[in-house]
Amino acid sequence: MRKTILFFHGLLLLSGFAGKTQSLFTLIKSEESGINFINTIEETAAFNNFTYGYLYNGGGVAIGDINNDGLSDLYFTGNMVSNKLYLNLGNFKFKDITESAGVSGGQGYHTGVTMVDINHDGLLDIYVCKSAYNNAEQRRNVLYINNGNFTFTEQAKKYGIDDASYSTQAYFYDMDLDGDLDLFLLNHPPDMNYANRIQLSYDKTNSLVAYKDSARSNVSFRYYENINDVFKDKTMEAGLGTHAFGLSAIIDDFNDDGYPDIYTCNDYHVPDYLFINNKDKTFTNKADEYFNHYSYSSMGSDYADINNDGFLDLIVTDMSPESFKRRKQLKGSGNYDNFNKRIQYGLGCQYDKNVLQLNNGNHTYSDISYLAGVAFTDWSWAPLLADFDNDGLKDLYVTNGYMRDVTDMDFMMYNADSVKKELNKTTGSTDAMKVLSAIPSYRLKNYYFKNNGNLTFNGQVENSGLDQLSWSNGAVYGDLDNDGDLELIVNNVSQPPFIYRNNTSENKAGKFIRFKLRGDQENPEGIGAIIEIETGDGKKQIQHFNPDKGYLSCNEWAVHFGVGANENAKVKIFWPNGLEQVIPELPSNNLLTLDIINANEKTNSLINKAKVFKDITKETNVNHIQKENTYIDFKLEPLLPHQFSLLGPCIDVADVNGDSLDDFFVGGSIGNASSIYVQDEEGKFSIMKQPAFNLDMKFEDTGSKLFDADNDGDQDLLVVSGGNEYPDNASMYPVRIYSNDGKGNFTKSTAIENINTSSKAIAVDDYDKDGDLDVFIGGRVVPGHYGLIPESYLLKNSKGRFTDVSNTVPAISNIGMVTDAIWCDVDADGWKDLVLVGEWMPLTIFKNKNGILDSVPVKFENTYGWWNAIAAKDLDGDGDIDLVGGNISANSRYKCNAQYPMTMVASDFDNNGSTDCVISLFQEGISYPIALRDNMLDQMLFLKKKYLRYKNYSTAKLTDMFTAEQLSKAKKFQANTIANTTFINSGIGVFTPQYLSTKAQIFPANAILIDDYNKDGNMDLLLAGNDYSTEVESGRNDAGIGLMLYGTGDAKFKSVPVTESGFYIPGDVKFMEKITIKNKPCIIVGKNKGAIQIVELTQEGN
Amino acid sequence: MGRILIAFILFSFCSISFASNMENGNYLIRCNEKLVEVVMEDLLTPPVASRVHVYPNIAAYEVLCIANPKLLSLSGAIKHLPKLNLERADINYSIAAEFAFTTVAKKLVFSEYMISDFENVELEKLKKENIDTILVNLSKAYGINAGKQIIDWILKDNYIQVKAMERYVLNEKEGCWRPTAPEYTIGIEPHWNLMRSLVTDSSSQIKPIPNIAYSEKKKSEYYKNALAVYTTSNSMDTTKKMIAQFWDCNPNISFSKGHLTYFVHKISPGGHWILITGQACRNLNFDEAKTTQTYTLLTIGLFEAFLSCWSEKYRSESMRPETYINRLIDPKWLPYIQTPPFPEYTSGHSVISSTSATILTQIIPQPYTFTDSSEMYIDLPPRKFNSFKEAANEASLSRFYGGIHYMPSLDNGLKQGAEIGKFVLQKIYYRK
Repeated sequence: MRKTILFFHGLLLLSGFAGKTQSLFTLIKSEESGINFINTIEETAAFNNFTYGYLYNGGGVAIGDINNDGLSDLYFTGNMVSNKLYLNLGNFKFKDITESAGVSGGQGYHTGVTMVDINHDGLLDIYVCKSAYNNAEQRRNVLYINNGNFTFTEQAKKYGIDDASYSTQAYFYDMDLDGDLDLFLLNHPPDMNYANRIQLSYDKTNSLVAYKDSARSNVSFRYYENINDVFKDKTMEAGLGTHAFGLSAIIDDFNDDGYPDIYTCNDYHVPDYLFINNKDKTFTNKADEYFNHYSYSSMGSDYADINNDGFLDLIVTDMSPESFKRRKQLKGSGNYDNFNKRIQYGLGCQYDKNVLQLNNGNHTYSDISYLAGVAFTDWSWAPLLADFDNDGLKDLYVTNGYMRDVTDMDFMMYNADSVKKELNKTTGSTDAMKVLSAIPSYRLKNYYFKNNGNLTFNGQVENSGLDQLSWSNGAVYGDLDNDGDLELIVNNVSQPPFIYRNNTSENKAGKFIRFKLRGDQENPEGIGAIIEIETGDGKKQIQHFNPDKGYLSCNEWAVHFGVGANENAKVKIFWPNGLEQVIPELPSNNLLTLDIINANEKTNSLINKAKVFKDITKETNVNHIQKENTYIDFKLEPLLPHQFSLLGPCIDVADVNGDSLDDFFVGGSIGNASSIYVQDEEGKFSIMKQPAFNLDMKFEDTGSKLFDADNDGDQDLLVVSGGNEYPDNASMYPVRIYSNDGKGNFTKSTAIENINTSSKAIAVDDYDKDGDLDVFIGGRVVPGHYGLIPESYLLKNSKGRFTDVSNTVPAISNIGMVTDAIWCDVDADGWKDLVLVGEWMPLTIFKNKNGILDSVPVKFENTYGWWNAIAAKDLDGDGDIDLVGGNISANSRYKCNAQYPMTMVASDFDNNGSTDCVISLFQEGISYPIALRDNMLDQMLFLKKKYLRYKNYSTAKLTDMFTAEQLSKAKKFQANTIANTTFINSGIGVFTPQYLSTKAQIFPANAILIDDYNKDGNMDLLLAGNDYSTEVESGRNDAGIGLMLYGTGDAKFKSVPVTESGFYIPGDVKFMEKITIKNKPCIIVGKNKGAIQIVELTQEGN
Repeated sequence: MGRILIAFILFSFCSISFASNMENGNYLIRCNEKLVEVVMEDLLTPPVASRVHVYPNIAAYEVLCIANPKLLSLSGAIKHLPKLNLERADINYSIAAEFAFTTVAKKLVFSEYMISDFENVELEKLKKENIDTILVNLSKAYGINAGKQIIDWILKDNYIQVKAMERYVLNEKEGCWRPTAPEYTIGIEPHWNLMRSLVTDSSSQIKPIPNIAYSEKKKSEYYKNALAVYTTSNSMDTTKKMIAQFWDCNPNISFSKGHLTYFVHKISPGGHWILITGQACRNLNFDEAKTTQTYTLLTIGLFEAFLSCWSEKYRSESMRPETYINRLIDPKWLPYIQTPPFPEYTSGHSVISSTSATILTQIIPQPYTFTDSSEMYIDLPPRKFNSFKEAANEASLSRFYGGIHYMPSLDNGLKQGAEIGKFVLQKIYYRK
């Protein structure tokens, strides 16, 4: 009895709790909603995933009020079953009117659906795409014209759009700004055998190019221009004749010229396209001017402003799983050569991951998917960016799942063969499905990410009520119950759709403002309109109205803003025809219809604000492109996280010829000599011939310093050799000194001992105050043996000769893989200390006591990182030296922290003479090696005996792979921070790390400059960097475009948008130095395989 | 896949009684056929497969020659092979040879369990024949001991070093090999030439004449050869198709359909000749000595042939017809069978088939006609041959029909293979 009471009591508590804060969403069961549609896939020996690769791609959803009763109705496509139209009866009750309405979709394999009022009679019509089947008649898309009485009439032919392509989705948009809606039809080409082939052939100019099948029969996309309500196929005229496998598209104005452009998400090896509208009914793909890389298997997409900076950001999904287990079980990225081939032959830089392309506002985008935490969401279809919790920030919902894991490696390698044979023997669907069940198959959870407001998202599917298992495809959002929040409707394979009620309004969690649009005659829904609101708290939000987004689906015909607690907002609407309307104050919790008849001529025009920096490269006549010798480190060391043969070009600045003008040295790579550029009175540079450099071009220059080595008053040159190209013992990594004759002519000097180490960092100072400059050289890597510790050196200057005194500081030789070093007096004792950072290293300081370095360095806990750079300055004006450290940044796959460090063990586990390095990361509290099986076995063949299948390997921990004895002999490394960080000095050399803001965590800060650029008395920061040398699974760090941060006092920094700073430094930036050109402060930047860039600090910016 | 092959072998040879298990060389045939199956399961590349096939046969041979004066130890002919450190003992040498074979085989393959399972089946048979358990155990231990000694010798063959060397780096020179669709796998075993040879001085002792010069000019030899591949592929009749398929022994073949890629397991080219050899040994009812001699010579021949062939492949780095034809003749063209992931010259099938035929023709009494049913496991009907040479020539030609080799690669490969075969015979079979 007591038990019962207690239990009852517990229930009450539970339900009481739930009553206060319901989960964000509640699934409405099909019994309740009346939506019993199921997108069932039936396979046979003649039609299955072996015969049609897009078989499990699923169906779409369209939401729209077909009877203008104020309630949004739903239309689902069924691939192999009848489509369904459900009338919204209110209160989450729906009625299937498919039959009476006559909108089943007819015969064929149905894919995408969109609603649009094509005949502008005020009623939404429905356009359905078809694909898959060989019979062209079964592929003719259908157009259901709404008769206004719950019936529809199929009239695709009449409108000229009974297209028989293999269609994915249709996009209606006024592409030529003539007022009416045109059609962009996204398709795939008939022949799927070429999906993964990159066939090279000679073109007319006899250059080798990736063959593009331009035969009309194999062209995939279709472009129809609306001419008096009849659609004319203008694909070829418009320049849109390609053979890409389109899975979704975004139509929007990407270059702010008022004309809509088309972004297509292309599956397989054809990269995504951005067709820029040439304003003359033609388009040109210019994607590479806007984006650095793409998803390889691009699927769904959305385009919305995730950080409320007024610029829309792009998300494109791929099919890469999040869990290590599934990553190792399913097919991973291809080989490095093939990746390079794609780049070489114009197929772009593509990775197996989602991309979240942050709009930089200057028509460039940076993929921040790792930083945002949305890079891997498994086999993903629709990404929907919308404010689901009405807090003023757009959240992200991602559907995912695939009926069969056809890329399961064990299946592909070992079972597919026999499954296919068995399948061919079957008759009928039941048998076939039984055979096919040998393919692994898992229903997965979809993803829900709450926007944190700082470019990051928080995965919250577990407590959002959205965690049902499914194979989900097309999805839409829309307010089904008119309570001011967005429901989610999801089409699933082989199970009923999900109808999720949003409980935000019920929970009174956030207010909203919603709009419906009434455009002009030909575009009655106002597709393409832009709405901007500014809420009471001063925050702005912007949306471009185009419901046709996500995947195969069409969202609600309304524009929804969450406004949090704000009571009202100022509203601006810009119509596609250039008219605008302003509503000074609209109360929250409002649904307002905006009518184009209330709009007026545009009032304000953009004011171009002066920028702080401007590019002057051209004016300086510096035309220097860093050439790299071809060397692929992964060929010898398949488990490397990145390459060491791509570290240049190093740059150093000084007046080498005694004319008081800054000149500079730029290092060469193997086979390419280094150069000295001298400045003339006009601020122009020219190369000064240096025969001594030509003799040394067999070395790779990775670090350089101009300083007076021999105390004769001119600037001599120290160059270190680095890279990974030569064997460690080959004496090809010498430290070199070239002495200056005072006029800028350099000759090789013998002032330095025979030191051979693949290095990068150089720090020069008179640390012992004996009147000459001493040198520290930081070893970067042991060539061919990543995981061993390279030698670093302390060299003492005695009358111009450098003597190795490393043995006086024993810890210095093997301190780690050093990347940067500086001498600075951190403890204010008058002696400069040696500050070091490196890969797998903590902030390390050798204190200088009266000219002698401490034998034991100070290492700061929880600062173990993959540091690239360190810079010193008093950041907070308290009189001591603070530091800024450049790490690989949080926009990286290698996530770690103090609790869950990244680790590496290195040893010759198989005694074959190579060093095997195994990097592990934590996932759900357990550390796993991250390498995929193929790579791991390539490095250590003996493991293949242990892991005969991908399945055993996929869950193996380090301790399963190696014996305790093997592990105890291995060298161990760790990293617990990847953040770009400032280190604030307590005054006595004790540093407190402070992470820079997320905007400064988008890229690896390889180069750091500190100065007061805006002359406000506070130190400001300039950061730049990227890393293109990474392995293909993680992908390049290429999101960096340089960043200026203004100091706000107290060592805090505020990022300045590139649109204001003008500090635009894209590319694989490695070095950045101050330089004075024509008496103006400038910055010179060295980029791997890129051109030297020079920017000037303008007077206007001061 | 494995099961299918077993079923087939059982089906084909069920007429052979297992009662006289260890009497003639049947157990060696079973061992070798099992190994073909494991190699297929492990998806080993053809040169690696040749290494896996040869050492277990040497191990068995070396055990048998301790007891059989008719068999001369290979220790002299293979300079670096030490004589087994084993006294003549009162054991069953057939059982010992079998376990020497399996001990070495287990070391070399990945799927060791398949060999272990096989051992258990074999032991079970011995039990059924009521062979004294103590004798079995003693013989088994003897064989394992021999196997371990052979393994010590194997470990010095440079294999683990070769596998740790730089993976293939594309040569930028005009006309050099490029990876091919659909997987674009990088060139496999680029340093195989550095493997320790068995009877030749080194991998470069026997070289084919250099390949014809690369040229993109329409009047060039090279272009004409490519055009011949192209026109032949466009006029394939049933016979040619059958021939191309029958000899398409490509253990790494994959098919790609959108995101679905799958691999078809096939015997390696060397494995095909091992099966042909097994059929001959059975048909001619060879005794144990003749069987071990035949297999050992054949597999040494295969090993040397792959060594020489792979050495040439990465010496000349010749481009595949697929790459050339796409570039210059027809950008959409695909070969009838899939191009394997390594350079073109010389044709591996031609070299190793020619070596095999040369060796088998000498060991096996002539004339010998045979029906090759090795490909029945992939539903291809048997083919009849009047001689080993005829089979070798057809294997060679199949690569031209398949669209993956030019004619000179076949002709010169056949010559190269014959030379290797003769050299192996001279060094081992005809030695005094």
